[in-house]
Amino acid sequence: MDFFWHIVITIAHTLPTFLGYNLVFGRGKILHFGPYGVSIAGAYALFLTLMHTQNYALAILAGLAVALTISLLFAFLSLRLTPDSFGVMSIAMHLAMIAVVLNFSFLTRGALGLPSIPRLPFLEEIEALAITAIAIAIGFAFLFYRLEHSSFGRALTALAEHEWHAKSLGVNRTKVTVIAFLLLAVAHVHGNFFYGQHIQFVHPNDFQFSHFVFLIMVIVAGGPGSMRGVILSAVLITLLKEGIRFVPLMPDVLGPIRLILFGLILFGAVWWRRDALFPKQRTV
Amino acid sequence: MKKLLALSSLLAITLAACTPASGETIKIGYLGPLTGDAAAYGVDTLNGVRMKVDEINAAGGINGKQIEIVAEDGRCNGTDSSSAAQKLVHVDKVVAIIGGQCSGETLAAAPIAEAAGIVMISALSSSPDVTTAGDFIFRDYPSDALKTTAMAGYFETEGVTKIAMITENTDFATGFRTSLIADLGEDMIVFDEIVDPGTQDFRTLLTRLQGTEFDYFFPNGQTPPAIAAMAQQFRELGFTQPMISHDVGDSITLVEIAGDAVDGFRAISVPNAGEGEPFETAFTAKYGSPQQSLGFSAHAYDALGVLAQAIGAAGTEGTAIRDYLYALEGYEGIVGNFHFDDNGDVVGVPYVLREVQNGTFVTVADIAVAPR
Repeated sequence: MDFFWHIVITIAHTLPTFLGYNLVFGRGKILHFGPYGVSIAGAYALFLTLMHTQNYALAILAGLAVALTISLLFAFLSLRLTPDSFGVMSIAMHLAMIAVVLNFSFLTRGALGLPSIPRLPFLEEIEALAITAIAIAIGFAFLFYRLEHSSFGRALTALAEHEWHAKSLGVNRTKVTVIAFLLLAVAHVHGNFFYGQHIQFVHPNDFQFSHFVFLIMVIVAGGPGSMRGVILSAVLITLLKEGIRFVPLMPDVLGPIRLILFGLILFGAVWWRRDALFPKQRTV
Repeated sequence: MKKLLALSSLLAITLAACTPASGETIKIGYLGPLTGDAAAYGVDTLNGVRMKVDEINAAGGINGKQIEIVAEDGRCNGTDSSSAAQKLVHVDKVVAIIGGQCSGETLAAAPIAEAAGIVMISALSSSPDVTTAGDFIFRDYPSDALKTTAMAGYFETEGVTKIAMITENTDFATGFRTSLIADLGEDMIVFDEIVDPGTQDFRTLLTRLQGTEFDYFFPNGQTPPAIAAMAQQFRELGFTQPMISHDVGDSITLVEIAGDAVDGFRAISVPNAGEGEPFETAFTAKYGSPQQSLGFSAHAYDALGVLAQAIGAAGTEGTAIRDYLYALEGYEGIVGNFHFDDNGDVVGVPYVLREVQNGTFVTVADIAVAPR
């Protein structure tokens, strides 16, 4: 049963990040390839503060402050650069964040990671952790649903479809972009907090590009911009990823099969969704 | 989306067909990196475990019960290691785990094993953090904190006062660097550079090193190819100072890649246990040459051996196995006669000085480890 709860927590704690990224990349069509740059900075701010102060509220505030600040920087860059330039810049930012964590070892312990992260007393039981993670994930899903069906969601879609026309109709690009990035930052902090509470160990390798590839896979397979599709895709691909451990083959055979399978899923998803990924702008 | 649903349905059917069967076997989990950059560690340790299991099973098992190994890929990271440990503990219901092998795997899996009261014995994790990972966490591989003490003692004996070091930015290598600096003091490290994991070109750094006076060069890499590249380029640039590294450098892969460049290369390492003994003959006959080091396989072999002895004597209950291991006075394994201290760290595994001579590593001296 605990393994079931483990899967539930894995899905629940990552779902808000998937939905947040779906808002930016899927619906907003902003080529943001550095979400884990924000995530690693927020995570280290959160857990270093927690381990030094044992104060959860202060730690979450620190994580939020850092994640929101870096997200504002990302938003600023996305407003100033062309989409493809921003895509390259966001990769550079991600690499820079990982480099900072790895090399400022006097502060971050570098490649040693952060072990023995304390757990909130009421989250000691895995069931309690899972139920809390589900409740918060549902809260996030509701928030994102409302946002997508609000004027904000329509403005984001309009900007993605044709920025010039959207602006001429009074859509404030700066405001919409900044809100989308900040929402993703909040989702990252949530995901980091629950990841730390669950695994009790954080390592720079957990923010490498392989994790970003998984994020992209979920969004593309679910349908960029489709909230329902992304939720379903997150659940199914996570089940596939963990479920493949049960196939009765030796893990040294299964491992490469899993990598090939995920490569094929990503290839297929991009192939079938190629029009949704990079849509032609509407013309008048 | 329909295709995704179909795929998941197929998976669900597969899962249903693969429900673990219960039987008169003792299930022991194995957790290690079987894919990814560190897969060589996983393959060697898993083969060491398999070999010991085959021997025990051929001799009748533990109290008449056969051992069944359930191996899971931890991929040398926290996320996969956590999932693997959850499955081993809660789905496969193993009585104990040999693993993780990377320290990151062990540290991520430790809280799960602790909560379930399942003993974990790591055959390779050397991070000092593992010492405090929990009551149920053991290792038969010494902590880096001891290894750097051994290296510092060696430098003192040799009268070495100036070290040039290039460190690959990974958990093992940076952990080693931190411990070594603590043992030697910053003043002795006259050249201290950190490079990104996987870096293969060190010529720029080594060109800078040309203006520095030093006695020993320490290529502190995570893998033998990284150390080989540092050593090879070090010699290409005309340096004549001796080189020394840790147990990762103590690998035939280093000699194969770097060739003559590593002639005289030294490594402070645990003994390449089993080398030249019947263990090596039996191991290579069954699995071929080890991918990384025969010593790693020997540590895994002994980890399974001491665990099997504990299960045979104390039963399969986690607390009883743990208490047996803490009370153990000595286990005569391939790596030596060892036991565990109050933190589950191994005591009794010696250090040796190894050197490349005529294209192969040979042991040239024992290294004493005295607290500094």
